[in-house]
Amino acid sequence: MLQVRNLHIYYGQIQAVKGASLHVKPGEIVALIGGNGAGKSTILRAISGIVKSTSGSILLSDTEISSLPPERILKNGIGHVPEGRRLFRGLTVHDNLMLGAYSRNDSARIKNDIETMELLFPILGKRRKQLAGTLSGGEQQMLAMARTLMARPRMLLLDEPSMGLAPIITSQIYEKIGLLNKNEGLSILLVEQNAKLALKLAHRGYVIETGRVVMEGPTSELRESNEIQRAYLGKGYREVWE
Amino acid sequence: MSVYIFHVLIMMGIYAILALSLNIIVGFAGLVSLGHAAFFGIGAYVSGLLMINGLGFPAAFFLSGIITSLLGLCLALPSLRVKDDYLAIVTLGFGIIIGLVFLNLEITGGADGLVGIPPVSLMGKPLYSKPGFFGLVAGVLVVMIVTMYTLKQSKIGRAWAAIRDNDVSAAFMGINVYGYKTMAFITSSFWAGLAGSLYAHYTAYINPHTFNMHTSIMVLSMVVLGGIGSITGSILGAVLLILLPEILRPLADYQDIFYGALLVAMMIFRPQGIMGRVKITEMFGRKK
Repeated sequence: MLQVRNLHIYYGQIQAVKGASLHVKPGEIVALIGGNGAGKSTILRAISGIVKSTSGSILLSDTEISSLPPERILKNGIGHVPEGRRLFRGLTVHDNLMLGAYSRNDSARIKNDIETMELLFPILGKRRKQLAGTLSGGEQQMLAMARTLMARPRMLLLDEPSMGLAPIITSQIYEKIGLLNKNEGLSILLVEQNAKLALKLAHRGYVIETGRVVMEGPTSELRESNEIQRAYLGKGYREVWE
Repeated sequence: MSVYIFHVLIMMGIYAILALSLNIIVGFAGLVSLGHAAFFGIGAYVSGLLMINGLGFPAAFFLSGIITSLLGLCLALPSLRVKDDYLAIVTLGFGIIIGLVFLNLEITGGADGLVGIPPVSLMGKPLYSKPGFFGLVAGVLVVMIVTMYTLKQSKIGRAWAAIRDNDVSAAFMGINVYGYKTMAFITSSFWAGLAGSLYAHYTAYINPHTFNMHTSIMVLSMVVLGGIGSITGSILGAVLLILLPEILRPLADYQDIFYGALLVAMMIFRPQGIMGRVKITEMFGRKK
């Protein structure tokens, strides 16, 4: 579905991504894990067109999208839930959802989809008229996801959905992500600092270090890898959260 | 006496159009512009020159709007690559440059200004009466208010609201941020140009002094005083800031001190402006 080949991205003089290649198959959840500043978020931003890549190609169902502006990429079916939520804090929950559907013109079905979102995330229905900035962290993450889903993407880019959330809220969010994948067949590319969580949910994973893919494979293999256990999972640490 | 009253009403109307046009940039799209008098001036000079050179009023009027909006586009394309404080400085610079252009071009009459601008003529008859001219200004104002309300509710208005709240998120939602910001400048300068045209034909004489930074700041004050983003607010702001100097006229030399003090007091005691977040439709509508 999505193929990223030999991607290079510069921020001014600094090279953030140095020839990363990865792919996501239809209906798959793929996790990108790695430390701070590894270039994970930058890769997502390049896919959704917010950041322009210097070289390399990004193919969505065999169509080159790396030179398209963000609004065209969204119309082609890639929705991005940005890091740190980035809600319209001064607007209501309902307005945020409406703006999520900005790229669409079918107003009758948009109304319908808002109801669907309020079923999927019941808290959003209760908070409909509330300003997005007044929601709790978990509610904001749910709104951010629902807002992006309002564009009816075929593929979802999720940037750190667990950021700043309590473990119990995080597991609720992850449950929803799993449901979206299973029930809607949504392909998901997930960036996560919390490697344990990401490797549990995803089908395959890539480990990114200083702008390069240093390891890849099915998550079952990655979880067993000594290198990953040492660097990202904390070897010998008992997994009390399970 | 009634001539004087209509003169004040006409100025209120023209400045209300100008303040509303700036409100598109400042209130709707959440950008800044400190050079709005430049658009006002461009509209005035273009319309004046066109009519001096034989064009009729309706044509000169619309062309002044269109030509001003083209210059708005010229300003927007390079300057919208920066935002906030930097955009303020770029627009300030634009205002100063345009002021200097008016002052130094031969065609604009330099410091002497443009003399002998023909009056508005409708259906072949020149419109000399002040109540008549006020009717024209009020008509343009009404069309503008309707346009503003329509814009605010439209898809464009929602895109502007999104950009105002968070322009990065707006891009994530598939909103062409740069495009919509540019559109705000074009729409705004179009109406500012029309206000300039009305002004030029009303006063029959314009000079660069009218379109300097002082005017830019005054128009911005109208928008802020009335309540940023509020349509009713911009009109109230214009009415108030035109009315104040007239009321304070007996104070002669001390007029500006009171004027300034009132503005400062207003911003201390009601920083959100007269209208603030309240919509006039809500004020008279249902009460809980």
